[in-house]
Amino acid sequence: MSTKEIIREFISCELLHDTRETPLQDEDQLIESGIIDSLGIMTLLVFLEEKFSLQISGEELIPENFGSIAAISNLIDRQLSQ
Amino acid sequence: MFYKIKIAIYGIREALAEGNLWNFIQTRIFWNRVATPVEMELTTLPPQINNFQDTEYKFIELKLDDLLTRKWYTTISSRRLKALQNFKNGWRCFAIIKDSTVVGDVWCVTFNRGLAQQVHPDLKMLGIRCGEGEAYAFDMLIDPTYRGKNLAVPLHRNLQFTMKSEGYRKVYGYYWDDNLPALWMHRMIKFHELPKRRVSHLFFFRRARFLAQTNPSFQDTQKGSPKKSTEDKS
Repeated sequence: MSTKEIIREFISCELLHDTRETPLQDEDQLIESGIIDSLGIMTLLVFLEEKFSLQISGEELIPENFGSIAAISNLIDRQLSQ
Repeated sequence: MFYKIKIAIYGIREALAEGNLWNFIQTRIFWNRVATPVEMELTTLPPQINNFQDTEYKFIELKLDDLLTRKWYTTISSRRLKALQNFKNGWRCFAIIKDSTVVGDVWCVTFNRGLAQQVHPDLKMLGIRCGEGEAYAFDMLIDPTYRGKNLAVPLHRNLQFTMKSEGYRKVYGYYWDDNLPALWMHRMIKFHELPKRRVSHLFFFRRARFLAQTNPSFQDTQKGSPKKSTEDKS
């Protein structure tokens, strides 16, 4: 399973509770649509840090890094390559 | 001081009822906690939209009379007590209401000529000088029942639009770095982050100083600079 798939599955199940008719796309806006709000970011962060065994610092907690599945995936890939 | 103690007692009672006493204590007694002051130029705001259109929520400015006559009421007793005290200080409250209930509120103070040092005690802690045409927004609370419904950002945005329409050009605020929901909300709103402060707090006494190292990824957007580098005690 790719990073994007893992993130998509988590967001769909835990933040959206699979209520959408169409699956989330890589570039779907997660913040504007209210999927990642101030509580959603906490849930997502805990998941990402545990799943990928990494630490996301405060500097990286910016909307640009969490705006879409593609952006989150890029952030994870960057972290893993360091 | 007596009124502050009364509010604290109500807070303890509520924390006990929610099984949240440890969190309550941690907000009253801490050492070297990091706060990030923030500012927002109101001229950079996007066009105003009604965030609560077609929803069951409404944005209002809460007045003292509204609380006294129970036109709007809050289910959190300590919040009500605090509100009554804040109104006495001349501070303003903006709220989201549903039916007759306040589901979220945020407070705001503005510069008053002759009262520059008394605008709000937080400002000294944060190293912010709130001048004419500027406001300080603080102490936002969303009722726990209504958290996770995307209310915090629209509440703050509406406050900013209101202040802008009244001629204000800047709003200050702050968040604690260990409060992730607050950090996220301020970054979603795209506040400019100012140099961080390290704060120690023991009940009603606190000490603050600038943090030597600030967040490097935000330095290019930081317009403010430390007004002074000495310690503040309040």
